[in-house]
Amino acid sequence: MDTDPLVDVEQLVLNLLQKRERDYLTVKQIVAGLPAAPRQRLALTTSQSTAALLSKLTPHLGQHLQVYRGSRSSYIGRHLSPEDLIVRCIQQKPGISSKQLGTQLPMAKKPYITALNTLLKTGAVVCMLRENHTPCLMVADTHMPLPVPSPETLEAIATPEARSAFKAAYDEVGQGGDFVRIHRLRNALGWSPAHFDQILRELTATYTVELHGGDPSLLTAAELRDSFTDPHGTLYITMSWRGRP
Amino acid sequence: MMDAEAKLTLLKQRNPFASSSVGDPWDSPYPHVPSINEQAFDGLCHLMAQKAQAPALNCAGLILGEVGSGKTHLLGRLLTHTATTQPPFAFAYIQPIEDPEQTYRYLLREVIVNLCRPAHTAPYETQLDALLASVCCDVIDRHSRPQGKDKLQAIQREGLNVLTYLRPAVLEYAQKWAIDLLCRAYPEMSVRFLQVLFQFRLPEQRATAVNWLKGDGLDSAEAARLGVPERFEASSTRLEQEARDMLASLGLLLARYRQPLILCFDRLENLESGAQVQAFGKMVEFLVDTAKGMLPIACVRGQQWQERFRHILNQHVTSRLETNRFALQGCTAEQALALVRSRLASVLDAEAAEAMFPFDAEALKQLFQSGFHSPRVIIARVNERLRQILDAGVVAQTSPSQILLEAFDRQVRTILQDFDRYPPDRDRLRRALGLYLSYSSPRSRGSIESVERPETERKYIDLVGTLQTGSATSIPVTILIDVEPHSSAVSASLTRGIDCLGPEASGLVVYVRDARCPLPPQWKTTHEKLQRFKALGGQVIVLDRERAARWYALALLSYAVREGDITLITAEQQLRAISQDEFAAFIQQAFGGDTEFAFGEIETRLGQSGGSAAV
Repeated sequence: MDTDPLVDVEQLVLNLLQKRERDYLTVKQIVAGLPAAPRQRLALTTSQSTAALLSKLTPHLGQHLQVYRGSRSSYIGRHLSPEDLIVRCIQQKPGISSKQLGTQLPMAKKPYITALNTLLKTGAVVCMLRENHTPCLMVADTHMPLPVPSPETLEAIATPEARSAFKAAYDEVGQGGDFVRIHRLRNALGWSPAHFDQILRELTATYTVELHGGDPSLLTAAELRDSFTDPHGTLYITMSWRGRP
Repeated sequence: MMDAEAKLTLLKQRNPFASSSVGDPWDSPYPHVPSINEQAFDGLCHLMAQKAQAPALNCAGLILGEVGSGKTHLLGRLLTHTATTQPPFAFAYIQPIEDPEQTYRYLLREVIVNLCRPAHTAPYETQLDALLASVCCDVIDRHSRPQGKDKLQAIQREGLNVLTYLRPAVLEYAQKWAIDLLCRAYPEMSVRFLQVLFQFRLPEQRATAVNWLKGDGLDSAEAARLGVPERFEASSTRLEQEARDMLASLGLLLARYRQPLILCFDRLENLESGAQVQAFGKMVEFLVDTAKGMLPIACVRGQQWQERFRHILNQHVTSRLETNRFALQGCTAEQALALVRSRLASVLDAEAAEAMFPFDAEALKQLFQSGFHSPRVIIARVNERLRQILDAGVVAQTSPSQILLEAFDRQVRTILQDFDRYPPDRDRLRRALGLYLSYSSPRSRGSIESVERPETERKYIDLVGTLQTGSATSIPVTILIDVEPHSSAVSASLTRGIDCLGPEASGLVVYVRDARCPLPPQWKTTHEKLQRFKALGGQVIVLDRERAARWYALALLSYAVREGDITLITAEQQLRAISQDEFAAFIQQAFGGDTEFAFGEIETRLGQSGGSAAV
């Protein structure tokens, strides 16, 4: 049976992250950690620039991985929201200072501070002061659902053009139906998973679309993977357009 | 005014967020939030108003919504609305059909069972009483002298039950006049249907009349008393036609007396085979095109409708349903808060509910402002928060089996509270037994394998399988479920059981009967046959009230699981539906090997047989 090389790369990277017990690694660490065969197949060498490596790897990252752009480097890691990344990092290093945490996360300062403030506001993360006045962070004892970014905190990327493209794909794929499968829309648009998810989140947050659970038993594993899972872990399979055309 | 501690205690005792599922609109305990699915509700109300104005109008409604979107709750809201409409609507909630070969008989039975439920408005006991009263008023008014007319009008004006004022002699005249009038006006009206409807009023005939109206077979004595021919000899085609004619006659009465009936088809995900979906389509087509005064409303999951039902049903049916299609919509953050407030108000005082005690309203709003959320998701998430508050942050995870057991117990209680609403039903007993035999754990004496419904002999035999014993011996198992009230039908079923036992009695044959269908002592031949069946090694199980309720509860619970109606919140705070595998595990855990529980008698009988075979 033919194997899908794209799935292979995604799985290999996930295996590597699991082996290193990390959620993300720099692009060059990822390339160095891949077995020789896929490296040769994709013509990847650590001597190439990060940008060149990313251009070759990005199309193969699948649903479970994404590119993170930090202040000093670019990373590839598990597909996680900024809040999830922060919580997982604090869980690994309880008591870490907010400044130290910022330097270790693969994200720029502004979205980091925004996400951390959201977590503090909802009580998912608590902040305590050391004797030297350094603020240190702990995950709250009671695990609360991670807050969903409000429309204001999202860095809006659902431009009018993106919204029009989304609606056009919805009409085409749905053929007039009210319940359109998300994985079909994703495939029709051909956007990166992170970009598609971000647009979908924005359209959801502005009540432009409504997500539905649907019946997972009707879908294949690949179709389920290409559906949408929200920050609470709820799987959505179909969607309806509710906003203006 | 209560202090905070007292309020928390009250919430702990009567948690208004404990259930996110409306099992049955008749039993919906939760308040309605007008703004949720307002458009769909208004649209359906307009449809009902049109139907009330013109009962012959050919129309139907379709409610599309995914799991937890509030389909059944919306039906409950329509049920409440039916009591306020002028004229009032009758209401029927139809569970999914099991046997497509009995389409019209099933529809008739479900309609009559619903019409015999207690009416939600005075003065009539049931919806069927109200209809009969309208017939009586009509004909008595036409044949009375002015003084009698005045008296009749006064009774109606006072909102009193007309039927209690009619002496038997008057009722007899009314029956004759009604048959004359209605059969002249509507040549297709069934005279026999009208005759039995009038006997429904007589206390001594009421139960038998209801059984006949539901399409059940009666024993010879009952049939003679009611003045109707026996149904035992009638072919399936003949019985289907009779049920269709009775439904059509009922529709004519509903239309003439402006008491339209709304029929709500719910849980359609349980229609597993194409034949079952087509049977549903046949019912809708009949209700729209032939039966007057009846408005079918179907509730289907959106994705299932688009990807399955539309491809099985003919266009004639889909177009009728889709003409009045209403897609349910999730709640905005404001609606979510209104929902939380309304549930709190069902337990706490208005002031506390308004203040969203014990929640932080702003935090809840933030939780739900990320887009539309289904009512079920909202209730489940708020329930988790409430439990965190009540249990000081420690939330014990509830296992799928525990959730299913609670839902099962609830269903059993519901059935026992109104047992008449769940009449003896061979299809549901078969479903329950099939689930039990397929999933319960292997017995000490062996296990049942490959349980299935036979392709032939379905009239008598419900399930066949093989009992594998520890000694590697295979014993064929045959199960006959019988709720027939006619001696000849019971005899025929027992004869088939005796045939299955064979001369060497090598197989296990179990005859199951709902205790509500007793074998009267005067059925001597039938009793002799029963003794012979037992003497040959046949096993007889008579389900008493408690046990039958558990069987029916399991069948209904399987509908709810299939619909995704039973949910849990995982340790990762994810809301998800209980899966079929978890349901299977629950059956294994709850019923397997427990001789005292719902299927104890079956368990004991199978164990005995396995033991004797091993010897």
